[in-house]
Amino acid sequence: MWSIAVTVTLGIVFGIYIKWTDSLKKINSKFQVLGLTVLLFFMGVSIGSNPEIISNLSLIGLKAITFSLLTVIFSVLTIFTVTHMLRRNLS
Amino acid sequence: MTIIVLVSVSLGILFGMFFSGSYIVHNLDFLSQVTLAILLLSVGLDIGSNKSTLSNIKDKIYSILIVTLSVVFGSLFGGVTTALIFNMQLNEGLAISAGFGWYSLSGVILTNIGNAELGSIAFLSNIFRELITFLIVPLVAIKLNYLSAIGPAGATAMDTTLPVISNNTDSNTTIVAFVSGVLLTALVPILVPLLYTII
Repeated sequence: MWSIAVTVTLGIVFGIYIKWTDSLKKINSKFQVLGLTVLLFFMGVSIGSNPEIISNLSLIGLKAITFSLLTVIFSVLTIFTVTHMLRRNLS
Repeated sequence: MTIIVLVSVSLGILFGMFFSGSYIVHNLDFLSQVTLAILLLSVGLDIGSNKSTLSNIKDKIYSILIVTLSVVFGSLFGGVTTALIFNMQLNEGLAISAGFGWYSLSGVILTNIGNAELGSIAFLSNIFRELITFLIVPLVAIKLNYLSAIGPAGATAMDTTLPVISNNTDSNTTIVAFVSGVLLTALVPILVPLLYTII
């Protein structure tokens, strides 16, 4: 977990001292999409290579999906409602 | 972006199913950690490239608190609702939803203090939460507002889903997302066992 905080902090520190051009920013943004694609592939591999998860997927998948959908929906709605009410203070 | 997400995960699942003895599967933890580290360096560069954003982090404390508390409230409310739908115990629903997307830890905790089925539901629902996050962050950012786009991510806003937030919002929102992700991550190992045993 700490390696995460360290890498982001390192990036921020480098980012402050680098002389940024528009093309450099574009390259960095493209790089993020590439890294994300690879990471998602690995996530898929971790699901696919675990037969227990694949079989559980059909047994308890419905409960799991409902949990994820409702937690996401209510998280978004709560933030949206609160930020909407406080939008003058936030801006 | 949505197509990239679906194609990558699907290819990964197929790869994992058919090449379970391969180098990638055996070294999966290491490989994804390295990829994540490189990716997060790039995200950090993105944040650092915008110096004006860093200077006013104090103004963002309200946004950070609002987002973090809203995600806690919204997730637990979603957990209780799901528990009611499936006629489950309320403490089970609360504990699963307090994973905030951190599937490995919430799954392990609930397998240990609860049972295997509970652990599996926690594991899967938080994996799904992460997948859903990749898919709907772009949509929420456009249709509602940038801060709302942090909502789906929960604890994962500090690592895996931070790139998708930074790609679809601005650097102000990315910082709020990162800090709220850190706070929510810290809450998972406290809230999951607490909600399961106390309520």
